[in-house]
Amino acid sequence: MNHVRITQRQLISLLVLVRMTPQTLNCTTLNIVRIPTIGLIADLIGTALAVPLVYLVAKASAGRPGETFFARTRRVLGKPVGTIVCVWITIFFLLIPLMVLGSVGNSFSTAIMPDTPMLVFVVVLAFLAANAARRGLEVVGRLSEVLAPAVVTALLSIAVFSVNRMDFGYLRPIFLPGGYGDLVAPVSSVFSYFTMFTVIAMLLPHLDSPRSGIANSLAALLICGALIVIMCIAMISTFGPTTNAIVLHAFALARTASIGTFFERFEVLMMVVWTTGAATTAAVFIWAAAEAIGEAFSLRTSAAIAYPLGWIVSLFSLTSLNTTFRFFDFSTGPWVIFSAATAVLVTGLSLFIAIADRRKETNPG
Amino acid sequence: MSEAFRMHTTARKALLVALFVFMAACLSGCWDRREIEEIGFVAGLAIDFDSETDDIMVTVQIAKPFAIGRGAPGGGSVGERPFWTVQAQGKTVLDAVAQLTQKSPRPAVWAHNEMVVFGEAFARHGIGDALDFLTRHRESRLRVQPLVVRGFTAAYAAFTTESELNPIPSDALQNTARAAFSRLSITTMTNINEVLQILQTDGVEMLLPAFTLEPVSPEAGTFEGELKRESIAYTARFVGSAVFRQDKLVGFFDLQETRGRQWIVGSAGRAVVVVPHPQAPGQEVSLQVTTSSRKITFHDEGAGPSFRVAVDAAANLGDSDSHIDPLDPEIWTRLEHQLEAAIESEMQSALRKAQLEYSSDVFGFGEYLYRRHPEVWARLGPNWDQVFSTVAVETSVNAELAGPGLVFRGARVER
Amino acid sequence: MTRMQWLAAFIALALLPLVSGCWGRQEIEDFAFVTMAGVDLGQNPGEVMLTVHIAKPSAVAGSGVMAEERRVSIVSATGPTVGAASESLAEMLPRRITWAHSTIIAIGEEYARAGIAGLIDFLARAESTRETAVLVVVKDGTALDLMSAEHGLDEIPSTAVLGMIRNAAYITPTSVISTVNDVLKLLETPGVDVTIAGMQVRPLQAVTDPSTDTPGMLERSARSPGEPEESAGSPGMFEHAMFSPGVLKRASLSSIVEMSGVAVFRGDRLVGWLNQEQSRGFRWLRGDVVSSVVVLTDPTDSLTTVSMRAMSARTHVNTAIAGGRPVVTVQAEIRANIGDSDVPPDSDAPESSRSLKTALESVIQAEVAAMIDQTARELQSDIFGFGTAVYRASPREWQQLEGQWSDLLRQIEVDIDVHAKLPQTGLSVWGH
Repeated sequence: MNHVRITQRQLISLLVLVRMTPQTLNCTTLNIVRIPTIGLIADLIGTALAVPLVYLVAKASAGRPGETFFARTRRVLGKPVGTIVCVWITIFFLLIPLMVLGSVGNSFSTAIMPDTPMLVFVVVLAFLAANAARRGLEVVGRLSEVLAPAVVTALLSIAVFSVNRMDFGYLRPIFLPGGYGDLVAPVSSVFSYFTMFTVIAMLLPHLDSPRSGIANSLAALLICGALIVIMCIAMISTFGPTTNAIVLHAFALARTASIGTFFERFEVLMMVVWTTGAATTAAVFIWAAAEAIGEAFSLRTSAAIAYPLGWIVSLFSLTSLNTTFRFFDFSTGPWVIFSAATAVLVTGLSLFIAIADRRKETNPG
Repeated sequence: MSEAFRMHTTARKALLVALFVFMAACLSGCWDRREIEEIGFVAGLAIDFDSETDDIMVTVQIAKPFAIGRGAPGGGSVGERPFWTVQAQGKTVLDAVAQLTQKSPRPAVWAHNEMVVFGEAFARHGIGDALDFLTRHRESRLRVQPLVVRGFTAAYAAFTTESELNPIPSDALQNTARAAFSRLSITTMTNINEVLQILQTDGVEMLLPAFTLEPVSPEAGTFEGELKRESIAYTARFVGSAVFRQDKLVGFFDLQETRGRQWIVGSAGRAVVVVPHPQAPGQEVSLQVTTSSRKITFHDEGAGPSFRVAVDAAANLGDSDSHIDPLDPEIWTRLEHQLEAAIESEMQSALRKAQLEYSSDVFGFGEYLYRRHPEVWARLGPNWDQVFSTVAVETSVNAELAGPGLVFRGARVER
Repeated sequence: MTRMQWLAAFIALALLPLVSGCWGRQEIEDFAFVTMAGVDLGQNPGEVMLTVHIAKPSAVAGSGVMAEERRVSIVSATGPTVGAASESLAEMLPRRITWAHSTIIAIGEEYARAGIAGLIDFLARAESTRETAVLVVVKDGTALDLMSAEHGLDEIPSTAVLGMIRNAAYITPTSVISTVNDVLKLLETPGVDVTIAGMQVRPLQAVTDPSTDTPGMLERSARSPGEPEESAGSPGMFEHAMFSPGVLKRASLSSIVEMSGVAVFRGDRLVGWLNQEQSRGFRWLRGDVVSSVVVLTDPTDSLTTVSMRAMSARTHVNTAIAGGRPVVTVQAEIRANIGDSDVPPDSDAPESSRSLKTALESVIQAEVAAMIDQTARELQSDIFGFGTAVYRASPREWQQLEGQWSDLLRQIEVDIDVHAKLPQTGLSVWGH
């Protein structure tokens, strides 16, 4: 394998950018809550649930430099089963650019340029993403290092400058009577987006100091959790009971934000966040999928399949996620189930690998 | 340097000089010289039929370049109308146009004319003569847009309309037509070139955009001081389209019928369709159709020839009178069904009127046969007018609700 | 190509589709900018009439001198829903409508009484409207009345109307600022009703008194008979001075626009009005008054009028259910000083200061009580959100009360305790 290296900062930026991107588009978690505060609690629980997942995957992938998670999976499970698992995870990786591109296309058509066909956004972004993926992880890493702080600043400023429209009274009541069951769907939705962190299985072997991968991944997770919670509080207190009716939460928040009375065009910021976030996220996962396919089928070079993957992804998002309603149905149904299944699979595998490693360490030879 | 080559350069120099002289003659415009101060740009043409004298009346709107400059955006308020209207009568269109020269201090230049307006009476008489003039004329362009004024108003009255947002009536009229065509699909857009093609093609009739002149009623708010010079007296409103048989006007389609025809021919752009609210009786929901396509098939078995028109449409939720939650699958499908029914009824009403009342094939079913099924056309073509009136047309619509706009459900209101 | 170059190229490319606008290209000349919109009931049942102000590019650009031409063009269209009416404006306009610059949405009283849910739905859903647009209900009139009225100081009506609402909300404060977003939230929150600023358009009559030596001076017509009389607590507070237009070249103003309290809704329907005292009572209760002048008659000398300037008001409202009906205790703390007085108050008389304090307290208390009387008892509308307080404290209890809340409101028991502090005396020296 080639020895592309990314720094710790790049890793954190990349993970934060990837996780925050769906949060800035159609944040469907907040559409399936009965009262908005449940969304906030779901964010906290979802983040907490993601900690063991990220820890285990990071441990399993960072444990042995030079050998990826996939290679270990195939070693531990045997070649045929290992390959099947690799293909499963590859499909999961490809679902993410599919969703992000579909979501960004819909968002642009709904909110900004209703006359422009969605095809334009999706194809341009898919091309850019595939191009970046083709050039390798280093490029994607550098991109995120530049973009992630900008995106985080944009999101925080949107939250801060809408503060005069907030009423924190909307955070109450926390539960409706007997409403604990209301948590199940939103928590699984929040958690489903955190399963995007499984991409660290592909990333950590490329880290310049693989051992720091565990701490850095957890740091990224906590940064994301904090950001999501801040955004959620801002949204709930700005939109109150209408929170679950809004289609594009971050965009709507940007539309209400203003600095005094002279600057109130934050939605331009959102357009930049959408484009760069979606392109980078798609690039990361197309790269990861290409890499995974390369390993599963022992290809000598895997970068060449980035373009075909990009076309496949844009084709599917244009045919199956081309309307807001279809995207909503997908992201609250099949996606949650598939990602939950993947999370269970990956967690189980990581545990298995960890145990296998320990056994090897205790009885060497 | 060789002798031969020197000879060659001399010859070339001579040639170059000759070319320069020739070009200078052409470019300077020494011949056929027409200065901008001496010509009048035609900005619109209206043709009426004077039934008393059996004459054709031509009205031309000529732009005043000095006034346009002043009326440009940012140049302050418009003090004077930036055009001049002149009228003449004659036995034919060209005859009348020739009479214009006696009245206008500047010769008319037709190259910039974008629009011709036909009066209803003239259109009922047949627009063939006007089309002939417009296609034969050296300067007139084939992209000129024909329009019909509905009602007994003379076509030239179109030049008395004003729009506050655009000081040149022909410009305003065209932009309005474009919006009504592409955003609402309630009128058609065409040009002389297409009209000529349709006239030459069997099995299809033409449909021109139609508008009426509405007096700006004083009750609609007293907008005193609206414009410095005078208050606006007339404004144009598109009311659908004018149905022709050959070159003669036979009747009109209203807004819904026009849109019905647009669905069938597949040239509907965006449109707003209002359907009843699925839950609250008496309330309405407006759906914005964003894309549509149609497929026509011809069947000739058993009960005689028939067409099937299948329309696919995608729409966004525009707004609702009372609370609506489109994420409820039942409401979602009911909205889709209602949109389908609404589109279908528009198509049916257009078909009914075209087949039974006007027997004018504005849908081009005949042309479809001629192109796709020439053997059937050979059989039915000769008396297509009768066949068209009785041919069965089945319509079906498949609508999809695509987006809810910026919110899913509306505000919940207890009533 | 170095990496940094590549990076720059990527970002530039990513932003390219946004800036070029090759698709959906919209030039500024193609747009009709709506600055203000108004909705009324149409002539036929079930129809809505939408009126918009469209900024005239030529009139707005030349801003140096007062234009002789109205700066906005007024266009109306009708349709079964607001959205359909908005689209059918396209039948009449040579430009494409965009709502991104509309700051005011006016609502005719009749339309408001029939329910504003359809309007709010349109504004929330449409992509170019802004949720920060401010709503206003036209009392005893149509939105068209307000939109065809002209304003002496401001040629762009939406700016003038917005300025008036801001003044009334921040300075008097006898009005509220309700944006589309606010109304959406209020409609959805359990146990609270919508309030929207009210405005009125009155015809003006020219002064006929020959002794007045100012030609063109205009005077407001006499108070219309339906108008409630000013309460005794604040004599002359809302009297208007002579109004002189004279700034418009073309014609005299035929009407005047003024604020007229607050429109009270139940659900999405207008049910009644608060007059100006009651409106201020509402603002005292909300505790968001930043400045207000309260005019008192000096209790020690009935011929003297003192105006008190309230600097801040903090309110603590506690809602509880006791004996099956809502019991509200209001504790308000007002900091005020003396704005001006006919006769300088006696600086050596602490009882004077004390009695002023009591007088101020009783005026504020009366205003709040009048507001609760009008809304809770008369209109059965919970504009403050007593119900919301119950819902937030114990949603379970709210579930049981929700159905009968409007009946409970009628039996509401209110205990208002106002405490005024007079720390300063303006700039003059007068200790207490």
